[in-house]
Amino acid sequence: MNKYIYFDNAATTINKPECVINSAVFAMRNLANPGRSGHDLSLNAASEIYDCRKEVCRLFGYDKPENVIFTYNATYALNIAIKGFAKNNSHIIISNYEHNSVIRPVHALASDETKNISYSVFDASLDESELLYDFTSKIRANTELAVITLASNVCGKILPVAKIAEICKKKGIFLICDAAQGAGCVPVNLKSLGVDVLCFAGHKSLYGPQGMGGAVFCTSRKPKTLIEGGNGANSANPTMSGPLPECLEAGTLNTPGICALKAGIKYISKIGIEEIYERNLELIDMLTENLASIKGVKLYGVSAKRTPTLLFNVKDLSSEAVASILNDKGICVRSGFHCAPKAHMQLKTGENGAVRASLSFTNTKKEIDTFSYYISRL
Amino acid sequence: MNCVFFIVSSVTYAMKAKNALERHGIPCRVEKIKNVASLGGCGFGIKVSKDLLSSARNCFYSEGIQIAEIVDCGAKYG
Repeated sequence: MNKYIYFDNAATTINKPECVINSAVFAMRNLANPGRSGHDLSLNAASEIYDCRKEVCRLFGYDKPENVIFTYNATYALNIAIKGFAKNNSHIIISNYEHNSVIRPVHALASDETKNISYSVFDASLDESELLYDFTSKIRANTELAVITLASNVCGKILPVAKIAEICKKKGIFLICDAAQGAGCVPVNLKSLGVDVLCFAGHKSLYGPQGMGGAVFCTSRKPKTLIEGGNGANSANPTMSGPLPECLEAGTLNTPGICALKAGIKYISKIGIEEIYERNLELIDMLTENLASIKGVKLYGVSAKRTPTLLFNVKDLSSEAVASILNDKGICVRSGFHCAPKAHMQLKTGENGAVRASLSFTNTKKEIDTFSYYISRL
Repeated sequence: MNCVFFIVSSVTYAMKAKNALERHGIPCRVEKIKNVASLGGCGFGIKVSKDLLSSARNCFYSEGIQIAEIVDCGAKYG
């Protein structure tokens, strides 16, 4: 039993289910390097990894396991997709709710004068119709790519990605979705969502271990490679040729992590993502109501459709001070800017950022009451 | 030897092919194959009895699995 009240699930989930831990241990004891050798232990590893690709597809309502790639995290997957698909002399659209995992690779592309790439930022804090209007207003003749988060890591707002995807389809814009926060706690069906690439973190709401992420490619286009190396295929060829997923998976995969991720996805799938979403909403609504009733608490960016994340400040205390006091009480939250400076600027959290409490369906109402009590005492 | 290898480019496609054959009730086994000319290096082969060659080929066609080439098991084992 963990002695902490853990409200930092948007950073990573802890208390991983036994099946996740057991799967990683099993892999470390029994599985060799997949795709490299022809012996049973290597082929068994490949079989487990293929099963995980299938599990990812099942979770996201997709049917091409070979289009699922595994990476070290969502940031790595986003870099592969953004830098792999961005074209020279083009324009990219992102939202102001993006994480630095999107902002920084896009900014790096735009900073390379040889590429002649520019980007615009639309306002994700707006109501849906205004948001879609603002997105559309950013489209230029040379807009080739849009990168949109499924849900803000700062305030939890779920963006209307399917509607943005409809606009992108009409305009021929390639759409990459950052589902680091949404995957595992927001129902996603890739056939209806309409994005071209979905990037996910394996260690947050999918309950895999840290060091796991990936992407699902819903496109026949193949990106330029970001990393080259051995992948067990076409060894005589000096280029990373061949089909997905191996062409984007240079070097040895994290087989124990992938096996554990498979167990994590099975675990949440058994509960059901709709059920998890509803449980989360009930918890975050309760926390929001509690904190809203405390004098001196300021809440930021509360939306109806959201992940279980709440951003706030208390009186004139810095977010670091609040997080530190809570830590002394055995409560884990995250303070500061959460690697999403544009979101904080939009939400006007000030020079000290804000406190983020991010829940999981495994949290309890009692924990929320305890948390609320300590906030009321500040 | 009374078997053939359906050669695919990667271990992922080998697993996809194996899954498809198993769903169709066709026994098979995945093996690594060295020096596949059409791939320019190593590939993976799905070993199937020659008697089931036609059924396996139809299965791959219906599942959209691309086969680089089909080789007789004798070519690997000598």
